[in-house]
Amino acid sequence: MLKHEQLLMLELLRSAIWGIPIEHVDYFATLTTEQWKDIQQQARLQGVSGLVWSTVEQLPKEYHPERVIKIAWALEAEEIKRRYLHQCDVAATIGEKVANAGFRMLVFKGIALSCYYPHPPLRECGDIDCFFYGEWEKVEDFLLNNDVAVERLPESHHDHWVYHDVILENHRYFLNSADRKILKGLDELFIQQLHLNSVPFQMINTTLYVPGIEFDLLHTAYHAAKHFVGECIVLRHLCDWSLLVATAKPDLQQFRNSIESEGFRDIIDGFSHLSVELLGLAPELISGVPRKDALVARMKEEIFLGGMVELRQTSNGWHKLLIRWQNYHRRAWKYRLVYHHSIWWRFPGTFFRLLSNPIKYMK
Amino acid sequence: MNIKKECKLRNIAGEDIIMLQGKAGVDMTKVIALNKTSVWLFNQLYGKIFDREQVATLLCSQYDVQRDIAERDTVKWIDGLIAIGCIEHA
Repeated sequence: MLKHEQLLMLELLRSAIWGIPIEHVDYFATLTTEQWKDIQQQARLQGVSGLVWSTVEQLPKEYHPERVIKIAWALEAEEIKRRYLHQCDVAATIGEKVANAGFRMLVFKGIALSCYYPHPPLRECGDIDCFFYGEWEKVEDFLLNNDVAVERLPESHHDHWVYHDVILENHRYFLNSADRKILKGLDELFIQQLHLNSVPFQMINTTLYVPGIEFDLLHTAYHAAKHFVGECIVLRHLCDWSLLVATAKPDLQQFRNSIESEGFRDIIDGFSHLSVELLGLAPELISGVPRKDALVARMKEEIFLGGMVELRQTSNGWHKLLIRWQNYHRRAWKYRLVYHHSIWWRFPGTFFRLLSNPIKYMK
Repeated sequence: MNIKKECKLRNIAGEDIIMLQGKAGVDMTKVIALNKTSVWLFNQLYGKIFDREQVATLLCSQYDVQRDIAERDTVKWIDGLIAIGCIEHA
């Protein structure tokens, strides 16, 4: 059962993502400062602070939160927009540099998914994820001589670049090595989809590329499932999914059938039903998608309560280790659901990493 | 003293505020909300060198206010700007 403040936050969010009027404006007339703080905090934790603010500011002025909250929230939303526009600038600059050297740059996740939003700069973005159609190494060699700080991460599926305070992830693959072993063929499918279906996208004065809808659907589902297992999902993931489904109107039955992993499919079904229930996605868009009530309820609980104990609640290294251990346990059911393996299958590797660098895990 | 150039008067969500706009965005601890009189003062003094006496005189000339009250309000106004790092001493 959601709190009154959570329900109100969802009402504001629905209005922002679908561009529709608020259904119950009067509910906001009597909110206390504490309730507004709660709504603001919820929106922040769910990665939708800017979106929710965009609706709050449209409420009648007499319903607005008190001045301090209002100013802080408005500035936060402004900062989200500023960061987004800065990221676009950086993506365009790098895109232009590499295009001049004959490479094509594709951006996915954050910036690419923001295009499905009514006001893209309000979609919070972390870093820039990019792909160079198999030429990642050549591009890096080129950029090393062009003012871009390149950090090569040999064990990882991507390298890091830093340019004007923005981190770019240069992807060789899309799955980390552990996932590649389990979700066989998925990486190859991602790469194939990008080679076949990516589309040109004008970013300021440069032509970049963004994935086609098939990649966006599959990758958004995979990414959210990965977050679900690793930490928890937030409403921002659900917004991405809802807007994608609403825009592309895919045949979800066919999409589900194309996914081999049954657990992964269950997660997608859960997202779809939660998109309808929480964000007001049109139910007809997910017709025929089976609903597992217990799983949907559990996913909903994870979204609003968070599935993990936060490490930052202690500064004690041994306590942090204990929390990590607890979280490992908490993840077990989700891990089994998505990967169809016990999480303990990974335990020897995790334990080895812990022994080889215990300090890292006590921070 | 003078108001720093990077100190901006903005209207955010219907409220007039002064903030220091840095390269990395807005520092939330360096923001103050202003009433109409403070906005008027800010606009009068932005880009000029001034002292407390001149601020108090400006207030007295624009508003029907006693000198001692104007001086007290001047101190508050300047202290507020100093607190968010908007004033530099020429």
